[in-house]
Amino acid sequence: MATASLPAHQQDHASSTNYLNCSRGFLSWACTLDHKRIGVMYLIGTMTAMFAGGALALILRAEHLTPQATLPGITHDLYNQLFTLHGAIMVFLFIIPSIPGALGNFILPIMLGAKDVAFPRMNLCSFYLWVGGLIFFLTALLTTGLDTGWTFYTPYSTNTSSTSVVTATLGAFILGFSSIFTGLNFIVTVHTMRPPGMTWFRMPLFLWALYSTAIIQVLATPVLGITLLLLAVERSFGLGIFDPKLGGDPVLYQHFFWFYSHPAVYIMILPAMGIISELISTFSRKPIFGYRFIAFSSMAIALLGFLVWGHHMFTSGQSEMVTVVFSVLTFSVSIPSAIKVFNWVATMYKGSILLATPMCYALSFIFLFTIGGLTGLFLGALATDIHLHDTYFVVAHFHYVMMGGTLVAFIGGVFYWWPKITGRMYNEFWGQVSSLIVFLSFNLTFFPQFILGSRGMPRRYFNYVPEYQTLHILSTIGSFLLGFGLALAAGVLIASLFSGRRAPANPWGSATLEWQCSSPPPLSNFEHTPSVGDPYDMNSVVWDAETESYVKQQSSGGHSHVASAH
Amino acid sequence: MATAVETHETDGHGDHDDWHHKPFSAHHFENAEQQFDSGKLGMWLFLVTEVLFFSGLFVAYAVYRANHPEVFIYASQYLDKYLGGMNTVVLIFSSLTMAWGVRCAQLGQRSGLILMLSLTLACAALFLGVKTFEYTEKAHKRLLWAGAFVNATDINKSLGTTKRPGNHVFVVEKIPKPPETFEERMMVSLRAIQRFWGVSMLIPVLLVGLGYRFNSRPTRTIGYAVLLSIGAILVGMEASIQIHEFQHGGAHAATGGHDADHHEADHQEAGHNGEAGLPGAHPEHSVVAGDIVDPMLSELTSDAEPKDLKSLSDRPRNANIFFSIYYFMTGLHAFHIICGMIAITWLLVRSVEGHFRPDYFGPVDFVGLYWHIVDLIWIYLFPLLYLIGN
Amino acid sequence: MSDSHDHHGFAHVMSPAVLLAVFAALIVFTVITVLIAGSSLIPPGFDIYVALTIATIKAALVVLFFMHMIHDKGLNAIMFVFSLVFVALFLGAAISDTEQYQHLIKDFGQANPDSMAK
Repeated sequence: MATASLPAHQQDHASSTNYLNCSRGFLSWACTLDHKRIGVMYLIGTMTAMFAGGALALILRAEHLTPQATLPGITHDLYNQLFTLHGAIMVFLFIIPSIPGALGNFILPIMLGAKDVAFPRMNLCSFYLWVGGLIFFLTALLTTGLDTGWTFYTPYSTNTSSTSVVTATLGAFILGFSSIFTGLNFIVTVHTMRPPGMTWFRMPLFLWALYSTAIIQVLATPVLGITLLLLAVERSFGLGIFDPKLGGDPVLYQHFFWFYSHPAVYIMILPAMGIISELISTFSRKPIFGYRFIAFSSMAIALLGFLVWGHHMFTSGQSEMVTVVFSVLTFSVSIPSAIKVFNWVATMYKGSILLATPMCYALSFIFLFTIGGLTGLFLGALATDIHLHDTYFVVAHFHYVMMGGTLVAFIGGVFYWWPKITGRMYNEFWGQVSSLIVFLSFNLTFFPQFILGSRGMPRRYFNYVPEYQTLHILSTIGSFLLGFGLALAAGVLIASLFSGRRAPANPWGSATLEWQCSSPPPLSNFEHTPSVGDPYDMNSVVWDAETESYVKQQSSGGHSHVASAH
Repeated sequence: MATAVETHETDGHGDHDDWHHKPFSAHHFENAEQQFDSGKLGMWLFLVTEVLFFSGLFVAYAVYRANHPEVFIYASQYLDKYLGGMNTVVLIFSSLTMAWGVRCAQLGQRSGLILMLSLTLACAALFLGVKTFEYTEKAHKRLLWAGAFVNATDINKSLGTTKRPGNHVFVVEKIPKPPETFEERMMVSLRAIQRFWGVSMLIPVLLVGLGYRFNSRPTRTIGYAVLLSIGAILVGMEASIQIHEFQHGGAHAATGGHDADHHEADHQEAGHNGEAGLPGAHPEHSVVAGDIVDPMLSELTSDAEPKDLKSLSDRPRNANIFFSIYYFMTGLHAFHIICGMIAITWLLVRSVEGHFRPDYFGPVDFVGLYWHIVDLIWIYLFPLLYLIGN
Repeated sequence: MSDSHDHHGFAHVMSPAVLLAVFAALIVFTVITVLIAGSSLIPPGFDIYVALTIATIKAALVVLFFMHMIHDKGLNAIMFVFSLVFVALFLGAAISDTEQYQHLIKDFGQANPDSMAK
């Protein structure tokens, strides 16, 4: 039914034209309404932000080689600005927009069997808002910097800090709207754009994850918007709501901030979990174990994520009763997370596992996310949190979840969908090597930080006592290896653009819809109406030696028709 | 359209091809209904974000009201509940005209739609005009947000530092007393704004002329629509000025009497609060708009020692937090009104051009939803800010 | 949804009678809320509950009729109600927490009178 309305020229040249070469020139990208091109622009943008944030992280780690000042020119104040910008760039410019903005935009409509997201203009607007936020952050960086930490806690941010708080705040405000637009688009697309046959429980789990994420984006991000607006006005005019000097309440600011920013943690991790569900099933060549449990656990995480924000404020002067309630609720989030991990492992059981690069990253994810999740329980427990709060233990914990979880899954997802996005296969061997380096060096970087934290090394400190030096050096060495591993992964991908062989439509044997269209996909995604079936029925695709691709098997059993073939 | 639903479920070849060739049909939708439903769900989700956006302010309000009720009881007596009530009626009326406009769009009644949108726009301008007078009066009486009265040296003393460069906290040691003719000057500037709009009407007039000269229908219709929206805004502004003059200008004595009644009531019900609202030295001044009523604030703006220590001590601590919340909530609401006015002007242009038809009226419906949510927020803001007491 | 002749295209058309009736009701409620504000009819401390109840009735009228929710898809209504649940969550947690530590602020203010703003 989709084909009936296509312009004739697209059908004529369907075999050769795709979304990459259908039009040329800067404006054809800058003004595009195609979700695939917007996704690619997001991919480039967020990856750049990631390497920028990573470079800042390496400076921070290098600084910690010795207990005192190590690098010339890095002063205490500059150190504060560097970790603030590292955090703010990674959170607002990379982790939150990366998977929904880049992979989600590219994959969601194709996976769903739709021609585009519901509001393509809003989608483009979302990308430009991201660019706008980036410009504000760069302005803050290049003027007086920012040293409040990415959390902008009052009253330091309103009364004391002499850096560009308002500029950075407005940047984050704009990025919030970018995130809202993406989420809003995804919810509407999933609700109204599903083709006939695509029922809710035939949706791949990545879509469930993106849908759950979008709910959080729509419900939580506006609160960040108003919080940052209040903060900017507070700082500029002295509104007084968060300023104790004027009768305001700084703890209230933390309620406002974490009402968004804790659910935002699930904006970061949920899409990553969705990617892992796809990868584990595809590369185990087995249907996902407990499909509905994973789908509902995504929704459960999205909703439970709203009930636990107070666990960031255990030591902030929050009242005892509320603290206890938030601590109890915090443990409830571990249940749906554990369900997911259990189901991924159960999916692999007795599967025929192929250790391709995406699968290597997926296995790293399961290991690292489990450590990150379990250490979160220590922090959710009131007594231990008093000891561990604001130490390197917290730093290690959220890096295991955010980096070992989200970033590793993002890279795995990029490797997985790279043939679809670019139409090129990358070098499998070096891809696997990169995943091994990332996995080992990640642990070398952050495991020592658990020990440092439990021994009392506070986070965000410029200097430290000499007895911590050995662990700090280990961590720093790990971080540089990690940087190398990620650069290698990027190199493998970029090299494939020049020398990679052409990707077949379905190199991995996945049964989800995006592998039924050619690689790269045509402008309107499907030349022929995709047949919607069970997304995890691995027996429905078989290897075809002639095209070096997996092909859809007709229910009769023959290779008669290939939906993706021309 | 009922057939469209059926074909969508069977093979979809029936009438969507026809639909794809109509103007304003987006290619990635199967039919008009899917496009409308997507837009509507999207709009409702946007309203969800709006509700949560404002929720932060309602939470701030609730937290301070729950913990410091005396601040709200004391400070809200400076708001004019009759002006607020009138503005409520204006907004409700604009909601009615907007809802009626949606009906006109659905039925394809072009002129009805144009009339309803113009009325809505005029009401919006009237609302903002009244709000401007309210703000001006508050500013004149130094009823400002908390930080406007902080003594800069105090802040630095408490922090143990000197004022840092690059610190943007707006601290005022002494608010300069506004000129006596503040009200008049405001009126002059409002008239100037009116003249600006009046003169800028030449542009759409020019557009209409050019449209006829070169026989360009779009130019003509855009000209008419812009002319209409500026006219509506001018009417609304004029109405608000007339209301202000009725309240403060000609009937000075009568207004004064009404204000005095108001304060008298406060006085009787909550004795000391009423006292606080009326500095003993200038009882008659408090009833004339344009004078400082709050003893605390008059202390801050002059070097003289406060004369009435009793009333000063009755003034609750941090009373200006109320005005912080008041300005932020109503200001953000007013910003939404302005956004709505821009959207309605856009609708006006499109409806003059005749874009809307019974199978394509989504934009009117969606802007309507937005306009109603803005009204809805005001429905809560009005009692929360203006109707506190006893 | 019963009166099918009111359906035009794919959305319900509100009749002028309903629109005008809702408008009249809204005006009446506005007048009531202004008149009873500050009157001695309401026991002290209850004024906010009365005012909010009236405001909620008005808001419900606007949402149901002006915003067509009564004839709209259930999904849209669920989305909107969902947002109110989260506002309630936010409000409830913030108030219940701040209320419990107010005495600390008060004690601090009494112990350090110079530290607090006037």
